[in-house]
Amino acid sequence: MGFRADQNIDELIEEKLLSGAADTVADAEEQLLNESWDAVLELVGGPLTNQELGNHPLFRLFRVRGSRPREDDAL
Amino acid sequence: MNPDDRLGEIITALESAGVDCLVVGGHAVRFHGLWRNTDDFDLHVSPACWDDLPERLAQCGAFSAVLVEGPSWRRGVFRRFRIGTLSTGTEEWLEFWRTNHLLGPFDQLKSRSIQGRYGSRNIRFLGIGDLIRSKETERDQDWQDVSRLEEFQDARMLAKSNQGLIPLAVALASCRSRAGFTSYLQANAFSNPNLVTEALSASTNPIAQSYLLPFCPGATLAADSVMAIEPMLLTRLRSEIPGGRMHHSIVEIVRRRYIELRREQDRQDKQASLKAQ
Repeated sequence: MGFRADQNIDELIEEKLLSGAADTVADAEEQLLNESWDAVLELVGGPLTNQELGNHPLFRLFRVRGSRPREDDAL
Repeated sequence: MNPDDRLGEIITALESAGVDCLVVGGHAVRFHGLWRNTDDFDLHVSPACWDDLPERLAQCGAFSAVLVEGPSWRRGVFRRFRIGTLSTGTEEWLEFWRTNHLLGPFDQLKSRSIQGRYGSRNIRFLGIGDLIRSKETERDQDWQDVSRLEEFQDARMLAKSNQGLIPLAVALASCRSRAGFTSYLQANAFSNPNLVTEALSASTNPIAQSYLLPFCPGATLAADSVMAIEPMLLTRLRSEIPGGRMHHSIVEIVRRRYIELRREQDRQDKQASLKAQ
């Protein structure tokens, strides 16, 4: 369980699908986020600026799979 | 008869037997705006009506012919009674809570409850904040309900604040959905730092705290928070542009930790309850 902050998110998702750990991309993403705490801490404790972190694929995934935005949400 | 009218019939029968109760569960979710198909009737009953509940139910002509008490997985606080069989063959159950491990005492719940038209009569339901809390269980379906109910709650709190029915700081202190946050943002609700500070000092929920903190980075969080936000995330929140990408990402990280915590608390409580039996 868990992964390093420098691992590629798309590859991790693909790995879950190919290994049968997840049936769908949504399942794989959910699993990944649930296993991401160590990577999150590594990233927020690291040198990236808030802007760079906001664009990081893992942090983008948190937004995508989080609370539903309003339809007119700019982000 | 549709389930809404059937609930009205049941409440009328319970009232005739002096049973003081609030509707919780699936019908409360429906009342608050989220359609759920449910055949069960979940009620939170006044402790004063608990001990002689079977006798009171027997008094109601509506149930006495078929009333059967079923097994309970939380003896002493939860009882269920089969009151009939639907035309589909599905059994119809009345489920009563005396106390719920996720909720406060009945009197408090009643003081925050809401009465409104449901089916053919007025019925008293659990308030939306307590309903959300009652859904913070280990079940995925409950969390799906929570995510929508949070949006409804945020919209209602903002509307009440706009109408002058509650202070804006009280509304802000309960903000938990992204849609709600966007509405507050568009209403310029975060522009007064004193109000945001006041909201932060009152809010015990880490999701609401995460939404508010970037607007008032120096503010102190409530000492009785449900969950402490991880210090590195707090530092980022205190330096983040409100409403920016990173802000939303951190809120969602905190939300996921919060859900994990609540699921685990519910799981442990259920295990302890089963072990005790």
